[in-house]
Amino acid sequence: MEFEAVIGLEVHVQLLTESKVFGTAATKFGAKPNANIDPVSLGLPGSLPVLNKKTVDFAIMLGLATHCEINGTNRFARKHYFYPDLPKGYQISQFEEPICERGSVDIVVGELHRAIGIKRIHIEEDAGKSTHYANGNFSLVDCNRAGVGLVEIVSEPDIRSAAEAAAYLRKIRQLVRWLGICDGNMEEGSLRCDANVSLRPLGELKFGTRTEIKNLNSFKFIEKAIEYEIARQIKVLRSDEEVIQTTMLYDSENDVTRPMRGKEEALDYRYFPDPDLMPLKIEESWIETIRQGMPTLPDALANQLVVNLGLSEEEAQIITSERDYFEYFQELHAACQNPKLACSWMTSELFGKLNKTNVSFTESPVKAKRLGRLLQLIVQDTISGKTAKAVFEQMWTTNQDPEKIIAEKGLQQISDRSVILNWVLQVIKEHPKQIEQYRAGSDKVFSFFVGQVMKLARGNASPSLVNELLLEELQKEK
Amino acid sequence: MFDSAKSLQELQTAITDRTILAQELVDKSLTIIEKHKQLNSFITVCSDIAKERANWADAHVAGGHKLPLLGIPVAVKDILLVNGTRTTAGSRILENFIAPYSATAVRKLVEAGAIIVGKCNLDEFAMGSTNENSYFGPVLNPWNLDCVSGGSSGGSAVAVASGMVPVAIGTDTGGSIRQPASFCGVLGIRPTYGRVSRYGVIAYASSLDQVGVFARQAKDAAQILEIISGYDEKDGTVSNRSVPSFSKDLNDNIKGLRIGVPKEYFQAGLNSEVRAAIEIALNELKKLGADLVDIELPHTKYAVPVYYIIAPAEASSNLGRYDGIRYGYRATSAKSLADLYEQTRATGFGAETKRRILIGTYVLSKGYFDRYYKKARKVQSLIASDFSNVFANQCDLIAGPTVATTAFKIGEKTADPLAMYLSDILTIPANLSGLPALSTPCGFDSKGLPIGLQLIGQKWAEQTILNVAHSYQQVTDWHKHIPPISRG
Amino acid sequence: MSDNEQVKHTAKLARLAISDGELPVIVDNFNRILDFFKIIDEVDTEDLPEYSHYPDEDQHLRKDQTVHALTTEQALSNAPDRQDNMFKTPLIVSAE
Repeated sequence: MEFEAVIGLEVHVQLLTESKVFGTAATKFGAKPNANIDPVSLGLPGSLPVLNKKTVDFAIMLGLATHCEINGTNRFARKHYFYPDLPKGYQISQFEEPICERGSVDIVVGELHRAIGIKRIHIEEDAGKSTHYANGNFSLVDCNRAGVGLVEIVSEPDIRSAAEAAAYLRKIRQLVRWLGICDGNMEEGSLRCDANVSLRPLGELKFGTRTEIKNLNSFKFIEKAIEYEIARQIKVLRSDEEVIQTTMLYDSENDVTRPMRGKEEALDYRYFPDPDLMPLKIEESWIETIRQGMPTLPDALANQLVVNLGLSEEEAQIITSERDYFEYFQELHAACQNPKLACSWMTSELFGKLNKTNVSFTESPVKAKRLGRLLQLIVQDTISGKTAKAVFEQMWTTNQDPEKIIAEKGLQQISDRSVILNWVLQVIKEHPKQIEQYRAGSDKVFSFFVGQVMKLARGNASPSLVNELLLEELQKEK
Repeated sequence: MFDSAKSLQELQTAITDRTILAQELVDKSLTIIEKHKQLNSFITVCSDIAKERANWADAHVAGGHKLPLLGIPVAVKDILLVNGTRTTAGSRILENFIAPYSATAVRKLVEAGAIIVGKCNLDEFAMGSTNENSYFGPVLNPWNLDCVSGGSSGGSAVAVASGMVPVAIGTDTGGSIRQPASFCGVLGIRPTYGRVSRYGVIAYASSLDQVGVFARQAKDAAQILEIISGYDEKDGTVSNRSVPSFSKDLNDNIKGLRIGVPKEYFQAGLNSEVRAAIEIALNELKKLGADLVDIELPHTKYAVPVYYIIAPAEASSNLGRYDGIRYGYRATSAKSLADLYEQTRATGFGAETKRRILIGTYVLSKGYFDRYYKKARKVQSLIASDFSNVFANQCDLIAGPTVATTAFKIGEKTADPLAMYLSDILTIPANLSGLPALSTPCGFDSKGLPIGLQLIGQKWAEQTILNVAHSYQQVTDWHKHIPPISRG
Repeated sequence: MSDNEQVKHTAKLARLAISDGELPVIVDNFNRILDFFKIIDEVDTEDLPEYSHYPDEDQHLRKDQTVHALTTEQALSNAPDRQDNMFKTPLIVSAE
């Protein structure tokens, strides 16, 4: 029997606010333990939550970017459980009335375009962090992260493969980074993902029993974990057993999923509306203000790149995958007015170099302005593409303007007809044997002549002029 | 003993005129606290800090500065945090907790120049009606040491009643200010929900808790209340409306005011001596020009069950933070984390607190939430409508007894939680409706125990009930009576 | 009515240890209190709104500003056990 995977993702997005969602402590990652603390973060007796407006702004923004409905009234609820890094014994979250509902994002996997439904987006607070020392039989708790604002994005069970799950997560990451509401850093936990996975016979409408895989902290792991879990469930179903509803943890070292210990006790979160927080009313005018302030979204820009500038869909996707890329591209394009050239220089030369040298995009020594000037020189035929690559190498290491490098190294392209014609004539004169071959119909020798001319020109002759004049003169020899 | 006839304003004038030093006032306060130690009204006395502050206050006066409460000794229920001072909530679980910040109400008092002389005893986490649920032992009633002080703000009530301080701060969730005020023969007011910030007030039932004041005179209560009230950016449920000058606007003209007398507050269970005293008091108000109107509050009988669903539900949630991890008591015997939680909470909390945590956990749990919590929140809206209906059509405020009895014997009701719960029946409805209410002394029973007259106002109309209490105090002297142990 | 098991389950949810010795009294009180709640069943609440205790209509929001309220030492000053500026607990076994 063939099975179909049914996957839903829950993505936690840590918001880039200065202060926490209900308290006034800083949110800065990497602070010393228990340095970002106020009475609310620690759940001290008598402390009270007061909602950070920016958190709501960000949630609305994300809701709009994912085509959600923004609820006019939404509420905060307390979700109760005991855990040492949960200071109050409850997490403030949204339960029955989340801020955003019923949206979708578009993903592309290979040739396939799909819309993945968003069930809801809600605001909640993060927990602290525990570190475990099994040998010493103790754990240590740091409350810096406790109370940092999160939004949780819950997808519909619309995802059908591990690859789609990864594409969906990439899309979410792209959006939150684009909007500037999250840094998307999965290693540091600013973006976290849990996956619900179930299988059903192909064609069946009813959902099978699902398992939840927790803590998928990289794109690689999410794909591998889901693939593993699908294979595991297929095995279970094929052997006529039943999938048991459990929470699993992905063990990346051994590439397996394992049931989580200690979760067997049925949880009862005892949600109830938080009496400390008023229902949150969001007027249409608030939503409108957010909408006005939002950047154009990457999908729309990618579409413009394809339609207006003639880039391929794949190229457009890469350029719009990060806001920084797009802005860089725009500068290149403005300088050279050649979208294809700008795109290929960015995606092959620049990205290649960044990759090879392990430098991040934002730290690239070659800024858009300089690279734009280099491309301009190519377009103006001042240098050849090949020379430009050499200049680019120089720019990378010396941090100098392209013009300066070209002038100093004498790399300027020679476009003087008479100079090039002299070289052409000299080459023809010095190679009678090859002229014979050419006359006999061998086209291969043409590139030999080009090579010889370039040699005389030390590679600086305009390739198009060399071609043109060689063809003209060889014609005369025929 | 503070002169029961002297107002805060008179004390303040004496301090500014330098006819008395803040140092002397504070010494007097500390001496009386020490003298009546057996009443157990304080958990922590802040002698050193208070004396230091008094020196500061005197220097401030000498420098020609003025502040509304400069040099006035104040006692604070040990459920409001005072920075650097132990704050226990009457619980073993916070026995050694040193507050790292101050409650907003405390901050405002201190900024107004007041001197906090100590932290008053209370029922653990404000859960109780007798002060017998304190880990630090019961508070004794100064009128009869065999009787309870009432609760949960018993220590604050006794501190004022026995003349240790002229004014004290308490909290009132289901009657925790008015009931001990009634039992101890002082005035106690809880304002409208949202009038005073709850920041730094250890939460019992967040939707019902309010900070309030104990004093002898309505005028003094008005002055303290206007100082501690108002918007606070640290509390999302405090009102941003402006605070009237309660003390300046205080007047004794109550002519034509319509006072509703609810028949439900005079039913079976009402002690006959209490009834008699209340009827005389009502008659006094009539003589002052008020009109008495018979009214009905038909859903009163549901108030106690509704309260004992909602308050424990919120309490079970609010008390989840006491787990022995970040602060507070930790059971040392625990070997595992699960053990640590269960042992810490089992030994750190007292019996009544645990009872309410259990009930609260139960009414919020899967399968019971709608039947109990949600249902109770709906019935609560009916109780609140009872009040809004009579206020819209029949009366300007409501008067009746604060408690159906006078103070009972220590230990009399501890075995029966339900009997204890039912003793709050006349105070709970105002809390469930967010209304301001006060209790002011209106007589004594044949055993010499005080009786309180309760006044319930419309939302934000503290001024009205303060005016009525003030008028009543102009023609009676019940609020000036001093318990036997404080005489001579 | 609740039985011993239900009370024990509730106590477990609330992380309160109950000894077998105290159980009968707790269950008895528990049941009497639940029984007392039954009186509200007689109220028809079908179309009633839930009570709202909030004093104002308008939202009370905070600007996104940090206020350094507590130092690390203050944060840890009441800790029953601490190490390396963190709160120390017995090993969390049901850990992630």
